[in-house]
Formats: sequence, C-alpha cells, structure tokens
Amino acid sequence: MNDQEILIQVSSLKKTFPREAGNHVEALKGITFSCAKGEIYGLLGPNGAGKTTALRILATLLRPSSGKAVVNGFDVMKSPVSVRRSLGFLSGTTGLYPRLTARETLEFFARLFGMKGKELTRRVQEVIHGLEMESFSHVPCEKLSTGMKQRVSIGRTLIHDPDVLILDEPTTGLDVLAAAGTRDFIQSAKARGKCVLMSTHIMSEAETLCDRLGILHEGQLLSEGSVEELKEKTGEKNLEDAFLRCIRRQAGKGIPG
Amino acid sequence: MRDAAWGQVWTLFRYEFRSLGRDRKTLLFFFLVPVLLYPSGFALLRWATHQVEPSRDKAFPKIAIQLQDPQLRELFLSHERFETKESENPEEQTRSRQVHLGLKQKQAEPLQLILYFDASRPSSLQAQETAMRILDTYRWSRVCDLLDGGDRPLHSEEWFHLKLYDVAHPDKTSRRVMAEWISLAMVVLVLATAGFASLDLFPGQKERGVSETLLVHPIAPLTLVLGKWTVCLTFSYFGTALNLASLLVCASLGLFPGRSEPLLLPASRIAWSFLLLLPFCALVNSLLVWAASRAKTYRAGQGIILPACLLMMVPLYAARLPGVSLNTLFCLIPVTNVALTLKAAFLREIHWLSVGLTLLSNAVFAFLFLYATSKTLSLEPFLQTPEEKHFSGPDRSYTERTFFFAGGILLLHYFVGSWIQSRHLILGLSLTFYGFFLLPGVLYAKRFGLQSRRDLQLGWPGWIHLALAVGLSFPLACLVHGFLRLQNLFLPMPGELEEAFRNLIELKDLGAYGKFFLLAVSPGLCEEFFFRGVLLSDLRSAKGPWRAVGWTALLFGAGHLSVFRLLPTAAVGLYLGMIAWKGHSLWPAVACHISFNALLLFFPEWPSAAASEASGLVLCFLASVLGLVWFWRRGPD
Amino acid sequence: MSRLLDLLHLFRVEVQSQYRDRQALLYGVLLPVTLYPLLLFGLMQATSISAGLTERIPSRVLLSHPPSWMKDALSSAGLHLETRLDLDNAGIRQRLHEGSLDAAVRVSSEEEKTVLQITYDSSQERSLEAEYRIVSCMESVRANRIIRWLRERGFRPEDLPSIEEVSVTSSRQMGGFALSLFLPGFLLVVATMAVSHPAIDVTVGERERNTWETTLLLPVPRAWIVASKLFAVVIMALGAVALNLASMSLSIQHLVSVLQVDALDVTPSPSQVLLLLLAAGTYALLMGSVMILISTRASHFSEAQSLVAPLYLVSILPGFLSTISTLHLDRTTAWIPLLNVSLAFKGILSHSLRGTPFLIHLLLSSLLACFFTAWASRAVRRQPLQEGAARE
Repeated sequence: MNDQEILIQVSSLKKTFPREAGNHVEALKGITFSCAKGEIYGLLGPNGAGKTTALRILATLLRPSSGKAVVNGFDVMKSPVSVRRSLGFLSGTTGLYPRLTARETLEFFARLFGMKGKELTRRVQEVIHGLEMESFSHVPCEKLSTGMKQRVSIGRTLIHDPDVLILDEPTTGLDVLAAAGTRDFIQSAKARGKCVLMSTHIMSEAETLCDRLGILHEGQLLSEGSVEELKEKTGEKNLEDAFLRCIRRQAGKGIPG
Repeated sequence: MRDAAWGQVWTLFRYEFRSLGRDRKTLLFFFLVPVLLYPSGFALLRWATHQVEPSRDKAFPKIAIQLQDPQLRELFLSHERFETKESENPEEQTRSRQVHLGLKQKQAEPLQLILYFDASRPSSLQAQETAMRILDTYRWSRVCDLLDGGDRPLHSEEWFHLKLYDVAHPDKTSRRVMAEWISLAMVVLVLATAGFASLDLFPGQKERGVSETLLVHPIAPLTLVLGKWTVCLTFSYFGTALNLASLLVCASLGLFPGRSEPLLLPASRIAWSFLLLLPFCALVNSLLVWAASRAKTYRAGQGIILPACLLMMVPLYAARLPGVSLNTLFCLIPVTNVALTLKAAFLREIHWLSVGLTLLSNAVFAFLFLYATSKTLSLEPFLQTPEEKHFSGPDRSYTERTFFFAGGILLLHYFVGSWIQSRHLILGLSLTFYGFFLLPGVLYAKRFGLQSRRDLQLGWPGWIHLALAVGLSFPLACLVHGFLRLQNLFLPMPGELEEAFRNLIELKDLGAYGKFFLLAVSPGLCEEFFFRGVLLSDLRSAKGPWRAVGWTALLFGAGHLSVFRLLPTAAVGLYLGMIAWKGHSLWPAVACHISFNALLLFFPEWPSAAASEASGLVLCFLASVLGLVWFWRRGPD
Repeated sequence: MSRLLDLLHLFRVEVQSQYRDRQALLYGVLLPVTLYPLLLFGLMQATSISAGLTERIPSRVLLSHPPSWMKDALSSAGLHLETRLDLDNAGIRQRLHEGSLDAAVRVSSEEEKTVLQITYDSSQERSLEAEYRIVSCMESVRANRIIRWLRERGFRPEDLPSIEEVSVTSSRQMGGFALSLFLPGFLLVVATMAVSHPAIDVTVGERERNTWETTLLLPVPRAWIVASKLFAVVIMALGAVALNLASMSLSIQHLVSVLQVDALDVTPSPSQVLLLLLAAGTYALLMGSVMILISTRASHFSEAQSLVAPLYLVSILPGFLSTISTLHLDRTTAWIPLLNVSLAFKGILSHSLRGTPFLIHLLLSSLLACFFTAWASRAVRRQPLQEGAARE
C-alpha cells in the first residue's frame, strides 16, 4: 500500500474537552492511523472510547486540539469544505427531513453538491434503483420504517459518489434485515474502490467487514492490524478475546485512562 | 464559488420551505387562524358588547343630589343630560351603584360642594366630566360675584376667560389613531409570526438530527444560515400579510368594536407600509434565528424567543409615547424606528432621510445577527451529542452562576432597595450598598472559594497607584460631564428626574462627613468589591478579561436603574474595570470611585467648568488615556 | 385504598420527573421572576424618555394683540412667541395643519370680559402640548390674580367656593378594578401555556422516551394513570400561574409604591390569591384533560403541539370579553366554559365575586374535566401497545 492510495491519514490526533475549574477531559490522546482506497478500516471500542469523537473530527464537526487529520488530501482544519465535499458521513444522529419524500431528500442533497439538470435526475434515479427504493421514493421520510430510512440515509451519503465514506456505528438500532442490507452496501462500496472508515462495537461485524481494525479504548489506539494480526499479537483465538486482552493489558500497565 | 454559494442558498430555501409548508401547524397558523379567528372573534366581541350594553348609549347618567342652594339645585334638576333625583345620602347611593354621581352641599357660605364618583366605573367618570364642567361654570360665576361685590369692581382687562378652538380635521384625527394602531398591529404580527419558523429550523432540526446532516455537507455556515433565514423571512412576511388582510377585511366590514362604520384604508398606503415592513421583518427574523440557534431543544427555543418578543414590546410602546418622533436617534433604534416609519407612511408624512436611516439600521443589525448565527453554527457545542456533553463541561456553568447571582442582586436592588429608598433615603442607600452589594459579595466569594489576593485582588498596590487613581478621577468626571451634555442633546432627562437626583445629592439630613461616607466611601467600597472584585474575577476565568470587563461595566451601568445613567456609568465602569485588571489590585479602582463621587458631591462646578471647553475635554481625555497606559505598563504580570 | 396510594405514588413520580427537567425550572420559574420586572422597568424608562423629550419640544405660538402680562407669562413658560396685529383664521388653520405653528392666541373683548381664544390642532402632538402649556400658564396667572384680588378685598382663599371630587372607590377596590382590566386575560393565557407543555410531555413525550409502554404495563387501571398524569399537569400549571402572578403583582406593586400612587392598592389579599389559584386550578384541570386527550392522538411532540395550538388562540378570546365592563360572572355566564373562568378571575380581583355562580363554574369545569379524562382513558385503553412498532 503506497502513500498515494491513502485517503485518510490521522497523525497524533488529540481532542480535549474543557470542564469547570480549569480541568479538562481528554477524549483522544494522540491517535495515529490511516485508511486506503478500497479498504474498510474499523475503529473498534466500547462506549466512550472516543470512536465518535475521532469520526466527527474527520467529518469536520469537531476541531482537533492538536495533531493532524487529512481526508483525500485536504486538511480538516484548513479546508473543511473540501473535506466535506470528498466524503460521505453516516451516523445514528444524522437525521432526515421528515416531511420531504425520499426522492426529494436525495435531490436536495444532490443540489447542495452542485448537481443539476439531467445529471441530477440521472444520479438520483441511479441511487434509488441501486438501493431498491422505488416502492417508497414518493413517501415522506417520517412515514418510513427504520430500514427504509436507513436506505435513504445511505442514498444521501452516496449521492455525490464520494471517495471516502465515514460510518459511525451504521447498524446500531437496525433490525436483522436492515443491518444485513447495510453491511452489503459497505462491502459493495469497498468493491467499488471506496475508502471506508467505520466504527463499531459489534465484534462479529468487525470481523466480517473490516480489512483492518484499530482497537480504541479511553482515547488511545491500543493496537492495529488485520483480524488475524490482532489475534496473533494477543495470542487469542477470536477477536473478542483479543480485544479484551488488549484492554486488560493496558489496564495492567497502569496507564491512566 | 460565490455562484455556488448562492445556488446553495436557493436550494436550501426551496426545500426547507417545502418541508415547512407541509407542516400541519404551519397551515393552521398561517391560514386557518387569520381566516377564521379574527372575523369570528371580532363578530363575537361585537355581539357580546351589544347584548350586554343595549341601552348604554340611550341612558342618561343618574345623579343623586343633596343641595341647599336653590340655583344649583334647579340647574341639575332641569338639566337635560342628567336623570337627577334628590337624596338623603348621595355618597352611599354612589357607592352602591344606584347612581353614577352624588352631589352634596357641605356648606352654604362659602359654597362647598362634594362630588362623589366611582373611579372604577367608566360611565361614572364620563358623567363626572360633564358635571364638573357645569359646576366649574357655576363656581366661576360665584367667584366673579364675590370679587365684583363691594366698591371695587373688576376691570375687564384683569379678568379673562379661556376659549379653546380645535381646528383638527376629524378625519385626520381618526386617521392618526388608526395609523398608530395599524402600525402597532403590523409590528406585533411580525413578532408573532417570526418565531415559529426559526424554532422549527434550528432547535427543531437539531432534535431531529437534520442539523448534523446539513453540517456534514459542503455548505459554509453563513450560506446555511442565509438559506434558513430566507425561509423564516418568507413565512413571517406572508403570515403577517395574511393576518393583516384578515384584520383589514374585518375593519372594512365594520366589525371592530366601538366602530359602527366600515373603515377603508387606501391600498397604496397599505402597499407602501408593507414595503417598509420588509427590513424590519428581516431584522426580527435574524434576531430570532440567532436566539433559536443558541437553543438546545425546541422547548428551550420557545423559552428564549417568547421573552425576546415580549421585551420588544418596550420599544414598541415607546414609539406611541408623546415626544418620540423619527429623529436621528430613534431612526437607529430597532422596533421603535419601524413603528414610527409605518405610522408616517400611513399619514403620508415620510421623510426620506429618516426612512433611509431606518432601513440602514435594520439592515446592519440584521446582518450582525446573521453573522453571529453563522459563528454559533461553527461552534462545537452547537451539535453536542449526549456523549460529548458528558465530556464537555461547562465553562458555561461559571457564566451562568455569575449572571444568576448578579441578576438576583440587581432584582433585589430594584424591588427592595429602591422601595426603601423611596420611603427612607438614607436607610435605603445604606441597605443597598452594604446589604445588597458588600455582604452578598462576601458570601459569594466565601461560598465559591474566591481568594482575596488571587481572585478578588485585594493586595496592596502601593501609594503611587492609589494617588494616580485618585488623580484620574478628575479627568474622568470631566469626561462624564461632557458625555452627559452630549447625551442630553438626544436623550434629555425630564425635569422631575433631575430634581430627584439633585435632592439625592443634597441629602439635607446629613452633614458633610455623613454625605461623604454615604455617597462616596460606601459606593466606592461596596460597588467596587461587588463588580470589580467578585463579578470581574468570576467572569474572567470563563470569558477572558476583556469580555469580563465589558460585562461588569454593563451590569454596573444597569445597576443604577436609569436609562439616563446607563451609558455614562457603564463607561466609568469600563475604565475602573481596566484599572482593576491591569493594576492587579482593586484598591486603585476603589480610590478612584470614592474621589469621583466626592468630586461630584462637593465640587461639581469644577468638572462641569472643564467640560464646557473643548480643549478641557481633550486634555481630560488624554490624561485618562495616559493614566490607563501607565497602569497597563506598570502593573506586574 | 391501595388504588389511591397507587394514584398518589404515580402522581408524585410524575411531578418529580417534571421538576427535574432543567428547562422546566429555567422557563417555568426563572423566567416569570425576571421577565415582568424587566418589562415594567423598560416601560417606565420609556415613559421617562418621553417625558424628557416632550419637555424639550419648543412650542411656537402666534399672538394677536397680546397684553404685556400675557407676553411675559408665556415667555417665562418657555414658549416661542410670534406677534401679529392681524390674524387671518384661514392662515392660522393652514399653518397649524402644516405644522409650522403649534398654537395661536387671539385676545378679544366679549361683553366687557377679556377672552383668550386658543386655536390648536388636536391631531398634532406638538399642538396639543402647546395648548396644554398655554392653558396651564394662563390658569396659573388667573389663580394668582384671584388670590391677589381676594387679599385686596380682605378675603382669604378659603372664602372661595370650592368643589371637592371624591372617589367612593377605596384604593383596594380601585386596585382590584385596575387589575381586573388585564389580569384575567393574562392569567388565562399563562395557565394555558403552563398546561400545554407538561400535558404533551406526559403523553407523547413519554412515548418518544420509550417509557410510555413501561407505564402502561403497570398493574394499575389506565384511568388512574391518566388521572395521575392530569394531576401532575395541574400542579405544574398551578406552580407556573402562582409564580407569574406573584412576579406580576410584585412588579406592579413596586411600580405603584415607587410612584407613590396611593389611590391604587394592588396587593391581592390571601383569600383572593387562594380563590385565584382555585379558579386557575380548575381551569388547568379542564384544559389539561383536553390537551391530554388530544396528545394521545399524536405520534410525536411537534405534532401534538400543532394539535393543541388552537387552544392557545381560543383562550385569548374570553380575556377580551371580560374587559366589557358590564359582563360579570352570574348564573348565566357561569355556564359558558372558558368565559366563566375569565369572569371568575375578574370577579375575584374586583371584589365582586358571587358565591353561587362561582360554584357553578367550578362544578362545570370539574365535570367537563372528568368527561375528557374518561375519554382520554378510553383512548389510551384502545390504543395498541404495538402502535409504535406498527408504524415501523
């Protein structure tokens, strides 16, 4: 993997949130990782590990306290608009306009990316067809089921065909079918050469989808590598045990969390 | 890129408008309410008024009399505008509402009459007016008889009657009244319709997660704000138009209570007024967009916007007061300037310079609020998730705590302090300084662990610092005098208030030492401790020193409870705040404050004389600046 | 007995959870306490500004054949004088309408008496002010002159005929009357707003927080659940009304005492406060039951808000109607919902409340509240628990 293929590069990224009386909380303590084109990189960690914080920094919703984050060649601090133009972001907290139909939602976001005319119509139709939304494209989003809403959200994320996809726990709260559909979408994105960075706390999902994983705990990247590499490093037979061993090892070192 | 940004604004406008337009509440508020509520409400009100008071216009007021004077008795018994009867107890009959008025003769010579009326009964008040006119005429004739009696008749030139002749066009008077009410209605309707869209598009969308979705797209914050703001503006403007159209239809059908004839207003004037309303609509929407963007939830947004709209009633009320007209000052004050401009438009008394200033003022304020909103959207806390909220603490808690404390003290001062001062000045002043500023300040400092040297800056500064601070009080006093003169050109203090301030300063019950202690030492010590000691130190840690000095100055100005003293006092507070901050000690500010007050108490003519010359003012200004610079450079880091 | 305890327990939990909401404290407690003093203070300052500006307005007065004493008196009153020997009425009228003149005074003789005819235009603010100044000045001159003449003739000012105007209304009644002009409408609107958010929150809000099903699964009849929620809503509303009333009263009292207007006593008595709260509580019961019924039909918070919005508007009208001076709470009006509440407030404030109509209004409001509560319970019983899932 050479540097030209790397679309996400994070170097010594730190994020500190202030608290009262001059104290602060370090959500990220200097993490470094990268993600290349055609790769799915998973950030694996429990709640409060800092996964969402890291992804939101990359999506330019938060500013890093120090360190550097580059997406598709654009620095998140210096060129946030260009970063946002290059990526598609999906999380549980990104909502849809309840009173717009699925088609209108896609058209709206497509226009915000500068698409118009025939190009817009063609692309919207493509996405609707690709995600099998024909049956409900005219229905207002508030009337859709969770799975249908998820498909609309995915459509919104892909409408401008970004090279980078950032997905924050994309299957949390979904039923079995919807979750399976989402996983299919992630894999198809990889097949089309997209760089996919996702966060999850579901081990099976991480094992199935991710080419490489970073284990994040209390703001620190404890270990990194493919599933096999992680198992080998920790001497465990499955990913969950490998993950737990990493965390216990860190706790045993007495490194403050 | 610019074209792309405007394209995004247009896209945002189209789709947000479409989304909002499909909201049931929108349809209800913007269409059903004006179409149904006003006509039915006014019709019901009119019907109810007629049902309850059918014979109001026909009945004559009843008056009970107990008079010995035959002439006066005959005057009332035969008067065609009263239903008069004799009574043993006119007062009781008036009190029990059997009659509207009671008239009793207390004494024959000199004639003493008592007219009883019921102030809580409008018909009694009207009857009182009529009766007083009759009685006044009779009284004057008796006075003339008294003065003309004897051997010294009055010369005609010494005695005169007053005759009033009003040449107002009845049309013009009613047009003026209508112009006032319609301009008021237009402004109120804008305020009423403006909040809904901004609440939905900011905190409403934040709750639904749509804000986050938008912020991960390549839209600049200002573009996003403009797109949403245009939606709010459109809804508000057309909502106002619809509501007003419904009201005008009611007026043209003669449904307004108290008016039996239809009221027709020229379409051209209405159109003109609508055009002039647009900048105001833009301003109000930008203000409410800014307020809504700061709210975390829909409910919080409602809690901010409703009081903001209510508080805007104050400048609106001011526009209806006598003496308030569209001059250079009021052209720049939002809400007031629009109400006055609309009134002028209805009366065809437009001065284009005033209109231009009004439009410019509204546009500038609107832009500032929109810019501030775009800054809010760029802030991280705007989209805080519950997880991040757990991390991020509240440096806000400092600010909130400080403002709650300051606000609570000012409220106490307003309610209790000023009430006691109005009853007993010396006690009230003492209580204010020591009970409302010093003591709570001490308790607050103890409760929240503010250190005396580190936070409250009670360390000794040195004699030079103190002497300089005392010396600076003179140029400061001159500058304040000059400022007050300038302020007086635009905002003259009423004579009553000037006299009240003079009485306050004179304090005849106290000697010189007492006055010095109460009006110089006490405020110097207590106010400085409170504002520049406690509040400044608390706000500095949350807001930084500059903003802290600004806020404490503003609170200091507001704490003097008078709009005429707000700016000059705040300016003094700013100066004292900078001395306290850069001098790293509270005592120079205390000394300056004490000597400033003492100067105004005992030698008011000195700063007044110096301020009367331009050269004097310039010198004082330079001296003040140099003094501040000295503190800036000489204060230890 | 155990059912009653269940009800009390549910009620306590509901009230606790409402008052732990920071927003409820901030906007239900803090806001009323600060808003009214700010408003009234702002209005007072605006009035001061107006007084100052008005004093500075110069009055331009045209005089015809003025005697010297008149010129001196008007000049010392600060008026700008212009003297003409001949005054053309049409010209004066035109100048007054144009605004280049504020008033004109013509001195003439009628039946051996001197008449000062003051011409002004009441549709112009400056002209009205000029007329007021001239009349005050001249009346002051006349009063001084009369006193001088009396002394010359050996009389005292007490020998003059006098007319004393006495209001039979006590300061308390006057204060009550003043409050009854605007407070009923205000209380009605405040109570409606205070009821709406809790009513929506305890129904749709719970559904959104996914605690609705948990509550419905309790071994308690649905009617009790709805009743406990209703009582919690009433308590919230009463708290808000009490605070708003206290803050408004304090602010007005403060204003009256600082201005030293002794003719107005606006302090409500304890019995008045209790009666107001009783009437407000019954109103909150009625409005709360209606809003809970409506909210059970909504699927999310903002939808519920849109459904209850018309009730805000409906609550404004009775306030207007209560300003009609001859409309009171009697045996007829006590039967009209909403209007009876507004008139009850008016009667309490103006010390003119009659017992029977008040009881009729309380009874009617309570009966209607029971009816709507029963309807809401029925609606809740009939709603499938899986409704949320079904919509998925």
